[in-house]
Amino acid sequence: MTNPHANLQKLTDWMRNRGRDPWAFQTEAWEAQLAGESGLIHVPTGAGKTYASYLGSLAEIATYSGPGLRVLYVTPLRAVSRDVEIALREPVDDLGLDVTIESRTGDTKSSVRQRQRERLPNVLITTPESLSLLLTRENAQDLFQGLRQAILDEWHELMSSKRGTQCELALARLRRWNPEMRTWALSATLSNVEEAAQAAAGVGSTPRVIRSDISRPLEITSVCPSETGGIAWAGHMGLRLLPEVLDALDIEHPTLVFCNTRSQAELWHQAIASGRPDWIDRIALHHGSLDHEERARVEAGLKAGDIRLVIATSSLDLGVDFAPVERVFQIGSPKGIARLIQRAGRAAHRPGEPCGITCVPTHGLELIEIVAVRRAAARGQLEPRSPELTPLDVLGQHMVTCAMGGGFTPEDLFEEVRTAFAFESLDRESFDWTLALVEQGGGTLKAYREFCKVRPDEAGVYRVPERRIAQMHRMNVGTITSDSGLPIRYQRGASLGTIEEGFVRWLKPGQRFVFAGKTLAFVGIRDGVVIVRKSTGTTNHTPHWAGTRLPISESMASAVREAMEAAGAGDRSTPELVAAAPIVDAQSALSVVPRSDQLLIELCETGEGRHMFLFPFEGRLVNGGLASLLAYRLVRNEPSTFTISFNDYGLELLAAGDYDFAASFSRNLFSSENLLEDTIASLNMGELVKLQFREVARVAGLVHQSFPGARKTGRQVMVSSGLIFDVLRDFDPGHLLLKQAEREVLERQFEQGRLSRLLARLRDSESVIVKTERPTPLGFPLVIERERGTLSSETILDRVERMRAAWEQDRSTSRSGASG
Amino acid sequence: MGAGSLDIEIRGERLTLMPERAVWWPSRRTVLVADLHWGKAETMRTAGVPVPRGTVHKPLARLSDLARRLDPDRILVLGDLLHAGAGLTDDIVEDVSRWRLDFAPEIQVIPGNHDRALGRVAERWGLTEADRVVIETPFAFTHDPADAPDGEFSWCGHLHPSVRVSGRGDSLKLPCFFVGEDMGVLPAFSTFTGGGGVPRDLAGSIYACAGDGVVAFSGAC
Repeated sequence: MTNPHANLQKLTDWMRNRGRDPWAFQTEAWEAQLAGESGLIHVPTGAGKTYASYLGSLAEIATYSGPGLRVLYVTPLRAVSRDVEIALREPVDDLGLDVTIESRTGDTKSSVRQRQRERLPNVLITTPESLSLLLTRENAQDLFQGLRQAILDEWHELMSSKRGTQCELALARLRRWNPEMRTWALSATLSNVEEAAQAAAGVGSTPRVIRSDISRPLEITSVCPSETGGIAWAGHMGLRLLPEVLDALDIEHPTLVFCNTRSQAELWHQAIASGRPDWIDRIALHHGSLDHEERARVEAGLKAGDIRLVIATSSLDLGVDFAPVERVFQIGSPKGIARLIQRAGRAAHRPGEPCGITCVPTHGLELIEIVAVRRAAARGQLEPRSPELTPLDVLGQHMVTCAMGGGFTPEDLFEEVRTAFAFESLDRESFDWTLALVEQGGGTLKAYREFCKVRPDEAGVYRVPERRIAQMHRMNVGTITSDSGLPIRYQRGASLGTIEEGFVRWLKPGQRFVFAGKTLAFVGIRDGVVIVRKSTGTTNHTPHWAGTRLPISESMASAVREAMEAAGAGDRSTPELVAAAPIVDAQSALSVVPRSDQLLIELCETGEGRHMFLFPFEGRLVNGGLASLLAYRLVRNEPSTFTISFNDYGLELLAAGDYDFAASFSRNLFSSENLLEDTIASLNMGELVKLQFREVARVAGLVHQSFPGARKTGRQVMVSSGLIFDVLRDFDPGHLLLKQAEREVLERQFEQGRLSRLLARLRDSESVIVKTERPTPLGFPLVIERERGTLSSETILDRVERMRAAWEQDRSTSRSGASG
Repeated sequence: MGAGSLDIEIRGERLTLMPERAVWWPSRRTVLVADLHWGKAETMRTAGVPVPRGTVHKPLARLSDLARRLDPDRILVLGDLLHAGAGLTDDIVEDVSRWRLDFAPEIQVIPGNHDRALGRVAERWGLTEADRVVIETPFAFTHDPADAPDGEFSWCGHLHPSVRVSGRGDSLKLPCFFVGEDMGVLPAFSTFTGGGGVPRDLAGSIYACAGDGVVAFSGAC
């Protein structure tokens, strides 16, 4: 076959013969591919994006023959690579085209991987991490020579993370080797489509954006507590809606139940399974800490129809494209508008058909969120996905990758990485800094002797001189920070997944807990592996995982403020508002329900100490940033110590000792003067940067998740990012990665100008200060928040002496004390 | 013995718990320390973890400072003076040797599980290698609490005990001494190390190293 257009005609006919008339957007994409264009295809889930991105390039490459990679398909989830492979194979097999197709992921057999190291198939399906690994091969340029097109699946998920940046850098390299190469990205719901297209196609390109007019009406419903049942003033509902949820579920219709955390998924899975023992064989659990094989089994079972009901976390946000899901539930806060729409889109996976999602609140205030998300979705207020900007930790990792994959000269690499969207504005100074980081350890004082990842050879080409460093780099390529989990196994050895050390430390032998949907009894820890045996009965004891919690989005936050005001003004126009009435009334009785132009401040004293609550409703990251800034401005005025907590609605400062909030609060706290200086100072006193450093250190290769060789030798060089952070801050405070962590906190927590916009809004708001007898429905969740940080201008000794005095005073109570 | 330190009495012997994470035993003119992990930063660097140079200078200065104030005859190290053989770079061997010239007390080391390479530096650094269990009535000294003999009150290291202190709107995690009925555990002298817990199956008191002071939580566990 020699003519691409004739091939495309055959492929179009092939689709028609199978009863799938091409959509207009698909034809447009194919023509654009044959014309050599790059672009982004932005259509609802399930509309046929995969073929839209592929058949045009297939028509072209079918005119070639012989070996060599021509099409690269990057998917964020290795579990779907098999399904993608089947889909891409279909037209090739049916039409007898001379094109080879293979996958390469962490799951690929080693014999196949060995062969692929010498020669890649014509069409390769892979993940961002496996792509980077291929780039570490000495013959990388030969492997990728002749590439015609790269396809980026689920780009909306990838682009706003460091995994996306990693892709951008890999593509920049591939484009330098293949200047004619096209890039096509596939994306679902987001609002910044043009930016997403540019990020995929790279700097200097003019990508085409292809949209479809296929729309899917969305219906957001909810399971509400009955009016007579009522909800407690504190609002917490937990599993109380279980009977209603069981009524709403129907095992005949394949259903996904999304939860926001792994613990919540474990809890609901156990509750549903014990509520309907007759469904037990058809219910499954899916989350990121489960053993990989178990997750694959669940995905396959869902697709085959054996498993009808899956309780999942965001681990199933991707990769159910091929499963016949009919209904979707969301347990807990929906968090974002686009996110909820995407989840709803998993149901009745056919374009043009309506889709629906049923929200299940676990807290009274989430009833308000459901009202907010429904109104915002109806108005089409989608969130943008913002790409990462110049993450130097990712660049550092990429430099080592390039040094292994044939080497680089700084001049060429600098030019090359600046064609990646994330690094367009990278300056030479930062580039050189990053090179110094991987060459000498990145210290500001002097080179760290003994440390050397890359080094230039006589010709000035940077390479990795040590085999051990290369090996370690290969094992740690990637940007996904996984928790420091311990493997968990049965006594006989079958693996269940991973569990956090902090949870296991408090278990006594024989103690029962729920994991992987099973009731287990703790046996012990052997060689760093948690050993368990099967147990019977039920328990509510589920592990917790420290994973990052998603904040509600800015669009969502503003919708929540409006819905809150409506509820406070007596709006009872939806079932959720009716159900939320008791909690709204309790808030009104104890304090006030703020209007969206008011800032509510609550002061109260409990056995824990004195609290100040503020409710800006800005999402947990920005609320956290504000909390840190306010605490800093207060401790600067007089020696004091605050414990900070924050959630999506507000923030709490808990003062140690007898602190007078009413006297020290003033609107000057919201001043924009010296904002940047104060923010950075507050960061240096607090713990936010240290937390962020964890991710930076991991990506930049300061701490490693896996080490080659024996565990024993590995342990001596295992070190927590927290310790490295402390030692760098003590001995090398100008270290580049400290700056990187600080910058990431500034960007995320204090999002480009969002904090100063918030301060302006707060200055314009009417402050309503209320002294309350006890924490209100809005304040109570902050009191019980698990993650807290402190900010102090007192000495450690003073603080400990005060705590000891309190401890001596009430040794009989459990509020104070010391625990090992 | 200086502001912030705290005296305790065990089996008729007076001991001083120092906020510098050391124990002063005046009747034998001995300073006890444990888990110094020298060369940890160097070990990290050889493994491609960029930890700054010079991290050994601060702990050396802390030891010198203790020696100046207490004038001990002997430093008794309860194990893990070193981190790993790979960390014994020319730089650190040289730095410690130079420091040792001006440091008068005898240094006696009970080998810990990290001290396999001790023989390589013992002579240059002027160290005496002791047995795994040293008995000087009424005390026994070991690295690992599991090696503690019956009958004597044992001082150990190895666990890097730490404590979470909280109450009245505040909370801190601090290195600590643990003192039980027949065993005491020292905090790690190294600051470049993580904290473990305290022995959960033993009753005793906790003494937290809080900046410039030691604060007692008697009978806290």
